[in-house]
Amino acid sequence: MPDYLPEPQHGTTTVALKFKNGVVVATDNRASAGYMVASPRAKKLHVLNEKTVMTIAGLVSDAQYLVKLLKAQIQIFELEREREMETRVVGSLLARIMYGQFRTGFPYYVGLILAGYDHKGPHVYNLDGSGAFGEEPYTSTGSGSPFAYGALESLYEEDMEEEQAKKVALLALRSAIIKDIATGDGMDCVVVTADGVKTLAKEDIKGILGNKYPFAN
Amino acid sequence: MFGSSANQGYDRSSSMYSPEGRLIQTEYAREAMRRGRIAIGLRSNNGVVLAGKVDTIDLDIPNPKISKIASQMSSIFSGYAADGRLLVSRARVEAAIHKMTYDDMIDIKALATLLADYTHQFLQTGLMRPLGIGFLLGGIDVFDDKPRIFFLNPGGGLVETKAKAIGQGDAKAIKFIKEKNTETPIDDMSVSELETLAKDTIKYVMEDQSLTDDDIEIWSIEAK
Repeated sequence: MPDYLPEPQHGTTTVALKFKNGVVVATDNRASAGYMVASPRAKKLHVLNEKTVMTIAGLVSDAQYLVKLLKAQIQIFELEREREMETRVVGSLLARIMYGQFRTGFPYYVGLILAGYDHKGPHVYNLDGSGAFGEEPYTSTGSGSPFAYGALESLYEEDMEEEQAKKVALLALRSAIIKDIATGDGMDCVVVTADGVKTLAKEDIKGILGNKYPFAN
Repeated sequence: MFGSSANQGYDRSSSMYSPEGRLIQTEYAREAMRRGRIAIGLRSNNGVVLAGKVDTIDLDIPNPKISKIASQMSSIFSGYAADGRLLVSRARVEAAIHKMTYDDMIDIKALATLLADYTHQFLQTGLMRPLGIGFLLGGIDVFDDKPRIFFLNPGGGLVETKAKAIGQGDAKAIKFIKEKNTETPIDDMSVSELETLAKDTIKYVMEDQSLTDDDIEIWSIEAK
């Protein structure tokens, strides 16, 4: 990011990780504006197509616009090609859009995670306002990411089963919810496998975390 | 002055219909396509073969008949060479842009559609003439490893095909290939069988069994 712009990815925690046959993605629900909670029910996890999801962090307007733009591009791609637009292909397009904007001097003020499943298996990608595009086994964005990484670095293992993977992702998000003032209010979590996107209900999340569930209800 | 001509002057613009709803310039362009040296495209479940007759004039070193577009895709055309080059360079650029944007090989159908759209623009713009070529785009799609060939005509029409012949002797060639297809379905042929069929077809059409590999240019690709 250029010096004249503030560091992006404020007031959020998002987590994504790969496991044996899919990806788990989790986000909180707090939108912050300085010390104020702008919204306790912000949606930061977006389903782009059958097997690709994206989390957003940073400037809400930029992020919402990019989600809409990508959904439109995916719709056109899939109608023209009569096949699914794979996560890597979505990411490559998104990185190009972000890089083009970066070079105008007014970059999109966002930190994004793209995660999904294709014929080569699960993928987690990290994108930032400069247009950089990298694949990771696990990643986190937002102000709470240092706390989430603290948990991920010790809990993450390669080729976990789905149940363990969900628990690791939610525990990492829990760390950020407890320690970061700009993260909180609720949890969203999805699992993407060869069968598609599965959204976890609040009761499922409570069941996985047990007495580690960070909210009173 | 126009009234005396059979087409009443409706052939003077490619962007004007005749009263019968024909685009007569396009029909002329199809004739230009048929005057080219023969080009053949064959597709089975196992691969794709493109083949064409190389024409040697005097001591010229002949231009290649087949143009590679991307790593698993090639093209061949019949008609005006300069019009063909226009589509070839367009195809190469579109394939490269797609690769750069999506980190993914463009689908053969998607590229063929882009080229057909481009070809079609020549019919909708005044002071232009339709491209005088027939164009075959063939290869293996990366997303499903399936062989495909698409045929583009001067009117911007697009059709997927198992076997196509364009240029001098096209009707004769297709008849020959159809006969072979009833003996052994093209779908089941191996790539080397497709190559043999392509060469045999060209020899048959040219009525010259003495043609060598130097006279016939061939490109083939096998599905995984």
